[in-house]
Amino acid sequence: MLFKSHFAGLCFFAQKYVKDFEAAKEIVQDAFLSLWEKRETIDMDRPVKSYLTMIIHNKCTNYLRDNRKFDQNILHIENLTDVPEYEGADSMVEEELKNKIDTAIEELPEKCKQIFVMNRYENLKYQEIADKLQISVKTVETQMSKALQHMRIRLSEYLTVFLVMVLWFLNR
Amino acid sequence: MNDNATYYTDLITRYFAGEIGEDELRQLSDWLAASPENEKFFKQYHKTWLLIEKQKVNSAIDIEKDWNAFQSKLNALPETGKAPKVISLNTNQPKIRTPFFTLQRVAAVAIILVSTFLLYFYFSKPSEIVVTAQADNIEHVLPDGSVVSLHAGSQLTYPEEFTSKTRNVKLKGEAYFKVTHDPEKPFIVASGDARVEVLGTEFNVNTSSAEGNMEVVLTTGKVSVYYKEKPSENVLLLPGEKAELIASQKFIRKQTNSDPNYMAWKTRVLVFDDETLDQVVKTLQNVYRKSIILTNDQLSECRVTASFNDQSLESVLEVLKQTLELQVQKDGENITISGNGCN
Repeated sequence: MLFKSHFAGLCFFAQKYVKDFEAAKEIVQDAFLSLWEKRETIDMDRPVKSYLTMIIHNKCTNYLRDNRKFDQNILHIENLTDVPEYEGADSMVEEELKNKIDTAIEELPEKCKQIFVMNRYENLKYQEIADKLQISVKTVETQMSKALQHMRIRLSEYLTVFLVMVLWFLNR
Repeated sequence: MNDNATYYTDLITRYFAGEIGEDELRQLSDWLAASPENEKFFKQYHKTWLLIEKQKVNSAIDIEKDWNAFQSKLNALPETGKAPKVISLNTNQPKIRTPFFTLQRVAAVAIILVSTFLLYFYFSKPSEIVVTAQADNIEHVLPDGSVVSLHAGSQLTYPEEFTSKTRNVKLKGEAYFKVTHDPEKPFIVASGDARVEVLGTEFNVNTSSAEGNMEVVLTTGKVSVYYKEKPSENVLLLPGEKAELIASQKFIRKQTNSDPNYMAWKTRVLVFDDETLDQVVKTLQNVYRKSIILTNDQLSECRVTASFNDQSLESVLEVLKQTLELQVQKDGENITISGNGCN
């Protein structure tokens, strides 16, 4: 089923641009809706994936412009100026990655962990977190920074191992 | 510098959290354009964030729930009266076994390998260490065993490990180097565009002179001094020789070193042999890092013959006071010397 197999991957793709998970999901759904509406007129020979990614890419850049978050230079550095190739799920390393990330999050100090989880996994904005925990937005900001720094260090080690594994695997 | 790092780390985190404001976005953009270091820093966080988000998206999506939500939106569309059925779009293209297809595979593998290598090097490049001597001289051992003595107020930057083809360090201020011999890997001291290249030797580098000029004095061994844009116009120094680098003209002048006290900041041994007081004061300023001013010109002509072994500035000034009938006034960090001149 088209929707079910591509939805998650496309959400990740959109998320790379808009950095707001709810917005990303909505954009992807709208893209599927557009696709459905135009089903009579689109070229069946072209892969549907690329059609969807085109639509989503446009919607994402529009979203960024509307929210005054569009910067060509930064997008270029993130490699998001053109439509990048949509990647499929990589189940071989997914499990390991998930464990590594969970472990790294567990290592965060209590408050820091809580704030990080609320932001990344419950999709709460800084202000919402501040209100809920009765702390200042500045505190949320500082804790988020610390969390991301910690994740960077923990995951960079992982990345090196992962790459060695991939190389070995490809060499077999 | 540290404040800046925190500020931009916060900014970058806000960016990925989707919290960034319009002005901040521009700030971030400018900062990223300002140097490749900044860009690299940003990219590390970007990759980290991507890893986290990818995993999150995979677990956060309850595909049945989202499919149902989608279906209701589909039903809400005006024109559609049909029940949503499996969209008959050809997503499973037959695998075309043509040479082109194989080429695609090879290209994909090549891309993975290349980006793998790039990512690997991103994360495994040795980080830089900065050593600063504050009020005292510092001795520091570098990863290859070389010893550097940093004059108070100087700063040395070097990598955690000398992994490239040369051993590169950056100097601000003055330092004395005892470089371990390694013919495979030249040791290079950089200050601005100037370079001092050695194979194994002992020498003094002073970058703190007035007009941004630099002085290198060789104790033992052999040293090559050049500007990075013209490495062929290098000056070779032998022990006892001094190279003076004029920054404004990128010109290097070689001469025999006439100043026996070039290393006094480190050894605390001062030797004056019929030196003018002017010269003595210059040396004292460099060694003890205090500002010393002669109030009248006649004083500069006074001659001094004396040696001091590990004495404090006060002791030295006492001796000079007695010998030359001077008055010494101290005012915080500034010292003024006055007198009637010598004859």
